[in-house]
Amino acid sequence: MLLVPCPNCGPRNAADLSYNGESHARPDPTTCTPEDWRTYLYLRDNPSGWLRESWYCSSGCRKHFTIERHTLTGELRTPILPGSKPGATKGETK
Amino acid sequence: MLCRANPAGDGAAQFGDGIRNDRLRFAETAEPDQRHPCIAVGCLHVGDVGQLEASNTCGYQRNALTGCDKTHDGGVLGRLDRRVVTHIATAHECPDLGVQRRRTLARESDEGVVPETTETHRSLCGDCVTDGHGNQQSIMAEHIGLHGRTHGDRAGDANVDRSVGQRPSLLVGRHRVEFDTYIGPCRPEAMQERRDELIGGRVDETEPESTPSADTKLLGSPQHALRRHEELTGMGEKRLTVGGQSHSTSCPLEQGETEVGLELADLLAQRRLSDVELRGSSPEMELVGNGDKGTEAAQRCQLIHSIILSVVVDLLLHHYRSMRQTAEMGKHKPPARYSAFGLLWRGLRKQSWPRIWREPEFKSSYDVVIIGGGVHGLATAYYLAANHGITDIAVVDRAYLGSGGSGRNTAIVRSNYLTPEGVAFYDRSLELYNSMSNDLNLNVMFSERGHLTLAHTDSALRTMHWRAEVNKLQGIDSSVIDPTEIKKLTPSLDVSTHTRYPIMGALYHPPGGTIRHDAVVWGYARGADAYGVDLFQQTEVLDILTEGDHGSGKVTGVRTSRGDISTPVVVNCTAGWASTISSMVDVRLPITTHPLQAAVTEPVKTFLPTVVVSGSLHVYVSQTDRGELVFGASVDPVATYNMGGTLEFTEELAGHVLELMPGISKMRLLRQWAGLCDMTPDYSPVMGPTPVDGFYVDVGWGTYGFKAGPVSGEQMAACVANGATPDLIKPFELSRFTEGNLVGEKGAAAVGH
Amino acid sequence: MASSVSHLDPMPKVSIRAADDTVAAQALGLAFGSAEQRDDTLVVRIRPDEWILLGTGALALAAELDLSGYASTVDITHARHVIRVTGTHAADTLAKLCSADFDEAMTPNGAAWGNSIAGVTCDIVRDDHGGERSYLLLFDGSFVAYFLGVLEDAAGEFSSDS
Repeated sequence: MLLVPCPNCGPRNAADLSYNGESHARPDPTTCTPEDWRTYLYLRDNPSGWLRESWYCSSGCRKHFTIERHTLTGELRTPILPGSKPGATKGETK
Repeated sequence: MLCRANPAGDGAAQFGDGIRNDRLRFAETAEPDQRHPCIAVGCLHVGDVGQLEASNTCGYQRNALTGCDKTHDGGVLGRLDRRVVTHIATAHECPDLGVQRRRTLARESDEGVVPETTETHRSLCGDCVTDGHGNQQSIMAEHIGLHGRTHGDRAGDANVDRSVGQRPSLLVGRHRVEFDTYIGPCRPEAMQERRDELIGGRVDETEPESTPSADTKLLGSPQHALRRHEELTGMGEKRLTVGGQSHSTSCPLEQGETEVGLELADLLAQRRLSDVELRGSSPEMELVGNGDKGTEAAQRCQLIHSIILSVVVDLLLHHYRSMRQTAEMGKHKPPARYSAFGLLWRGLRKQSWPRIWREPEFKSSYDVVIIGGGVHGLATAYYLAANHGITDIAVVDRAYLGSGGSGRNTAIVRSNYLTPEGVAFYDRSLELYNSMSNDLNLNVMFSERGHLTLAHTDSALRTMHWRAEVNKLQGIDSSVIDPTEIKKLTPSLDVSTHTRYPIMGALYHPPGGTIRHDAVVWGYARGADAYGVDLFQQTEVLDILTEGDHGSGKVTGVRTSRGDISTPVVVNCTAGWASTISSMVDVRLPITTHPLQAAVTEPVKTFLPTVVVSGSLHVYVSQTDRGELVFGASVDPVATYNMGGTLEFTEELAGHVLELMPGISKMRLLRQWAGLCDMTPDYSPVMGPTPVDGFYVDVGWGTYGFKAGPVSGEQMAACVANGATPDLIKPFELSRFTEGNLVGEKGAAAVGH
Repeated sequence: MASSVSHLDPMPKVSIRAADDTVAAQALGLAFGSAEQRDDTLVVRIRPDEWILLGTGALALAAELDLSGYASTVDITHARHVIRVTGTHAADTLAKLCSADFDEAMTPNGAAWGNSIAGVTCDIVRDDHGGERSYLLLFDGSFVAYFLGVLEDAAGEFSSDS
């Protein structure tokens, strides 16, 4: 079981959250080329190591956030809510 | 008691009444209380089966049964007396049979010589033939002919007692034909009685010409029946040829029609092995009497001889075929062969087996380096060597051969995909799997047991129909079946309607099945090794050396944990680490790596004859040859390279499996494991060249890589050798993602493995 | 009584969404993840930007709110159902069905959080009565038959009367 530390709700079972996959910047749809857009849509780094990814706390606070996870060991670190700084988490709320 | 059908009138009018297919003519008895329908038959040639035709001129039909198209004038009666059918036939001028005897029989029938008891029936069925005289065999055959046509036609008839007797069966070619007939045990004395009753000693006087000789053709029945069988099962043509004359049948024939002659052949073959033999091959098979009876020992001897002979012939043929195949491959060295003789030889000499592949010298240069020693990598190496003559190949794997997805999958193969691209591709793979044991000279234990994809919702059922149609168009054996048929195929499934996910139908794909996945890996490894391909285990690729720009240069070599290799071609055949390897040459792939978990139960007796897949329940089940149930599911939602199992998986899996098969709730899981699946957005692989010259990929095989192993090896080999992407894998090129031409196989590939 | 499961509907329920800087948010107060009984209304701050009012005074309380700015109220009386699980084994019953930590240190009286229970997304409020453990479970009404069944099944081990 993966314990995912939601910035709002604290560590939660991964099954209570939704996994959104790799977190990467979306190109501006009004200016980018179709190739850029498809690259954004489909291509992934998929590293075996640390990866910044996006989660949605679907049954808890219902917020999206990003977190760094080691894809081999399952370690998690630095959850970030959009618009806030790394480390500014509430952690143990309950 | 004796019921006689009116030759010209009433009886004829009743022919075919209420009887299916116009095949069986029962004339009801005159007395309503006597519930024994009569069977009326025109001319009966001995043992011939066929069909009475509806039209008749004399109250009885020209008899297709006999193959004689002359008009017969015989008034004949038969009677169905509970389990007994007897009849007497008369005819004029039937070329195949002695006329005299018929007349004799006819006279007897007129005199009302009709058996009353079941014993008579039994004796007729059982032992008429034992006499060894053509006539008696004829009588039996006649009898069986009638008997044959009484069953199967009136299944519900209370007058036919179906509970007595046994089901005979007959091996015709490779098919065992089982008959729904009722031949009771023989009682010699009753037989004798009946024989006397019917023929007595008069036969020889009235029909001397029918004395059997060594070459007496036995009245045509078996070959007729076999020919008929051919017609029925083969072309479906409703024509009948006997004695050089052709007759068409007037209505569809059914299984029962073939039974009679086969039954005769069966009896003859079983009981009088030494008396008769089958000559020639179907449909020209002849049953020939050879006079004297042999002893049982002689029969056994004959049997053993024939078995040994057939095995030897088989082996020689096999050997010859493989030699020819090897010769066709051209100049390459054939792999060392396993054979039954070799096994015996080594067994006798207590010789140990050589290593299945060499421990090769690590060279500093190869023509091709293949990364990944699984089915895909080894198959690519094998086909490069076998089909294209490129043998200077190194296959490197960071663990042992088959340690990744090739050894972790649930070994299911099928080709009932949704898109034409997918179907064509996987069907070729199935073809290769079919002949793999022969090609690789290693038993891969392919069990073509049938594959069921269950539909639990209307929309799923609709998709199944869609898939079935796509498949049929591509010539794939695939159809949608209903719950009744599902239950018949796989009785352990709960097809009731009160479940949470009722089974509404299934896509049935008979060619699907399971394979021993390790054997496939070993087979390809051994095959490739024999061609001189070097297989390096525990050799990790640390970097791929290139010259030119990042992401568009040219491959020059590979840096491994055992040293550098210079090579112009690198093929990435990894699963799980496809992105990692590709990132060494700055090729980004549309891949995320998810673990897929599987589990097996303790072994139990075989009860699951098919592979069962349920998309809605995210589960698929098959039973191994050892009796373990192998479960798989969909990939875990979170992408990771970690292959640890989770409790959620087990919990969910168990719940879903019990939805399908409540009966196995007491079974225990033995173990679970995970393998890494490289998932692509369109559930299709990425194959072919990349922007980096000399760097090929065969990756993104998600949850369906094993079943595609042979074909992707073959196609990748062609791709590497010819420098052009073969048509079969053109749709799967990496460029489809930037061009926006995704394949769209999700509907059939997700979960359905 | 070891644990009891009771279905409390229809109980008036109101959901209030309000950004931090709105008047409504200031008026409702409370820390995220806590609940407070105000007269005959239970006020729960179930999410950082969402409050749920439970009880007979819920509608009246919601009506008094100033909804200027980024704020809204929705009457969810009939959309959501409430089940109360009470008894010494209330926590044990729920622990069988979800991953939440029901320890006193993690979820004391007045704690509120969202969690999935037996696959149903629920808002859980610890709302003890007379010193006895008690939990309110809010969930989508369409699950009620299934959910009651699951709870009764789980409570069965602790000889509940529901």
